[in-house]
Amino acid sequence: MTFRQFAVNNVLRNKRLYAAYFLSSLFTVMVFFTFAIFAFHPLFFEGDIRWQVLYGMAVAGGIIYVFSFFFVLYSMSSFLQSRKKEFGLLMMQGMSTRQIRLMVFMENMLIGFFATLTGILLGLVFAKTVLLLAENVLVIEETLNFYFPLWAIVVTFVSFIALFLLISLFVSFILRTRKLVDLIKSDKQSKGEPKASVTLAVIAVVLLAAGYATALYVQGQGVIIAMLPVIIVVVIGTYLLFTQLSVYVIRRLKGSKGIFWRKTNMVLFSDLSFRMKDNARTFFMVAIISTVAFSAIGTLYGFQSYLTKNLKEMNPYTFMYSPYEVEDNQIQEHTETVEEILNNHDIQTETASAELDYFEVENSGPSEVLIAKESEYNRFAELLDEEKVDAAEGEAIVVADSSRVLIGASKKERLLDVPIELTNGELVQPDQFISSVVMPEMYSYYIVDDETFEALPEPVETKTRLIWQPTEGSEEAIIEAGGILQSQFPPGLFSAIDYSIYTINKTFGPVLFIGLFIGIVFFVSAGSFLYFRLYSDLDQDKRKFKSIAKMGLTDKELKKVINRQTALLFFAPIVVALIHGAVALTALSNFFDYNLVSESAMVLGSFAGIQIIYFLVVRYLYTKQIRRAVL
Amino acid sequence: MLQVKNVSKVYEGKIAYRALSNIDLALEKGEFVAIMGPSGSGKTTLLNMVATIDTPTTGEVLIEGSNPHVLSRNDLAKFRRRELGFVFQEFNLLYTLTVEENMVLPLTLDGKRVKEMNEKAKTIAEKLGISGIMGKRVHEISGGQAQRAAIARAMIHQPKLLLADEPTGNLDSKASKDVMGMLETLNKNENTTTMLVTHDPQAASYADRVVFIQDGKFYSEIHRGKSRQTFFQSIIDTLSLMGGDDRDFSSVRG
Repeated sequence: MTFRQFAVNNVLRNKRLYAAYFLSSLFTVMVFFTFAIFAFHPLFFEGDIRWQVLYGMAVAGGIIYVFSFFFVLYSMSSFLQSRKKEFGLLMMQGMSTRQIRLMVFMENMLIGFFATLTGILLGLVFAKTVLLLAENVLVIEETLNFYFPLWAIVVTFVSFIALFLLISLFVSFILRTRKLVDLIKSDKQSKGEPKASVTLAVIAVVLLAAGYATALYVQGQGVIIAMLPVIIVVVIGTYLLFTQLSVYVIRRLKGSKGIFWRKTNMVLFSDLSFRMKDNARTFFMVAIISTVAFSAIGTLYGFQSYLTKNLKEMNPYTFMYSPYEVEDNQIQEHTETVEEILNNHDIQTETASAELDYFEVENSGPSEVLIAKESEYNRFAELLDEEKVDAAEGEAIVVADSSRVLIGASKKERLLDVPIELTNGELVQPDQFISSVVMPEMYSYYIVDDETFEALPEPVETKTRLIWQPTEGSEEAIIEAGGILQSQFPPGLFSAIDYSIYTINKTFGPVLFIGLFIGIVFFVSAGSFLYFRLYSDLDQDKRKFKSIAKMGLTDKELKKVINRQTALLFFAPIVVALIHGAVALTALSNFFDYNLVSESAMVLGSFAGIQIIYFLVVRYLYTKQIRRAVL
Repeated sequence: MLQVKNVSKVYEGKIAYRALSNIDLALEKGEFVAIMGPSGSGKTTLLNMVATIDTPTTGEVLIEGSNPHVLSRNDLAKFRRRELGFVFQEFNLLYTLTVEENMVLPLTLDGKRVKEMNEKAKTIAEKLGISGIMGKRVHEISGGQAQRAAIARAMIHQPKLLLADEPTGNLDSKASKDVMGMLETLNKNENTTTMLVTHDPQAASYADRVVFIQDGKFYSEIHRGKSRQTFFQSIIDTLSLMGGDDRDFSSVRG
């Protein structure tokens, strides 16, 4: 057995120990490589995607690389920590520090090399899957096709071999100790319970509260100014939360025998407090990384929904013709063209037309206000399946501004205080206030009953609206016809909402997709962090439960302890991240003055859902492993 | 050959703890000495200092007149793999390696030729009666075999000094006798200076001399005469004189 044979055998015959490190390295390579496939996609070099996107890609790539570095370094150092005793024994047999370094270096390069190769292979498969998904979910069919990513392979390979080389050089820092006795006894020594200071625990609470309060309080432009200080304060607060406050709380719990000595609590808490030193760091990283993921995805998704929702609200009808400075006979001509094209695409429609009359109303904000006839409103409402209104004689209903108008809630009801003056001098008092999208009108307007309408003075302006609502016809045909129709008329005259949204999705799609992808990468990395943390304690847990089982521990109790232990590990950082994310998205909606509750709930909810599934799977596997050891 | 001069060891901490105070000990070349004492008396600490696993707070350890604790890290590594052999209570074999590979590890680290390593492994395995299990992995063999493999590993490079820390602590009485008999034979045949730390009076009776320490201080020592049986009896007598409870010295550690 030569030295090289020894090093190789040591790896090959001890696969399980190396597997965790190998897998987390492989995973990191895969993530980076999949990202690189997109970053080096030919589309970004020849297409019309702007340089900002390229710049964003470079930044994201850099972040992923730095993150990979720390992730691999962290995996590596906890991997080496768990092998301290082995190193101690080898040194006892006369292995010099140089030889240990050489051995770890060789192992690392071996693992790094294979992790890089496998990571690239799996990354190819993964990227193909992601692209397939992207094609179906998002509208980017013709643009992001699969290609042979030579550049991505070269860049990933070189970067990661360099990374593993660099990290191998860090080994000397980890194995600095000269005292052999510490190494040999390392498996019996506790890492020590971390200490918590009350002051710092209080500071954690204060920082988090202050950060949250500021983030929730500021409005509009203030959000931008407050952003950086709030982020810094919250990051420090989060760090202290996990390193100080949590330790402090656990200590208090342990101090109370009523709680600590109750059933299986003792097993759970004693472990928690001893592992908190390692856990705190992991929790902190996971919480921050997940927050970044949540906020990024929430922002993108919110932004997209902001764009499309506005458009939908402004254009509730599938096809709408709004002639402006067009001769009457041309209107007739245009209408015929529309009908013909719709016919050609096999689209059956219901149609309606309306004359919208605008009147001068004082103190109303915009000087011209729409007053709609009840019967006309109801005719349109029927097409949309919206609720009809019933205005009593001599009364008016006020419809609120569309959500696109950014004004305070009190100003939205301004028309309620403005009566309408009729020709006979009578005043019509508004008495109802509703929100509706039936009339494609930006600002607040009135609805009056048909008789009152006749008594109105001459309108200042009259606009004609022609709408078509399809009753039959495929989605593709509607989009296609919309595209043709929109190009037929001068801009602004004809709107085809499905086609417009299709266009938005098409341009916004790749950006959203890449944003989503990066977010998911961060989130999944956070998950694998937790997984790695859990499995580095597996052997210790096996031993622990084995000895407890000898004293008598029912299956149910065992499950309960593992359940709580795993749940804490998986949910403590994620719950913090979810709260952080919710606060960040609230601040964002304050900035836009646009309600993001449903979007945030969806993004955060789906992440929480994924995390729960992840938890269930890992718990199942972990419990199985422990039970196999115990029985 | 080995001189321990006025060695003390203090463990720093909230309350500084004095594990050893002013121990003097000298071993002749080829001598077999056992160190005994109750739990916490400092015998393992003393052995660890000699083994260069731990460093003394004051005093010095000289092996053939030179102090290994002042060597550089690299020289110390070379010193360990050429001059020292160490046998642990928990065997401490690397479970990733076969018995044979474990045995030749010190030679491997020294970059010896494969042919030479094979020969040495074969010779020592025959002496210790473990030729049949050379290809097995550590988890496939019994405790007695594991300890013999560990002794083979400690002896394969013909060290000047063999150190054993409770080598029979994890073995039954039959395996203990075998292992101790082997250590005695190796000591006589190879003339290897041997230092043994043990709880077990039976194991200690294989030595030429037994040194007793208590509370970190030298207590007394007795030499072996012709008969091992009488030596065993006088060890028991000394232990009872020390005031320790007999149960402290049962051959199976609690």
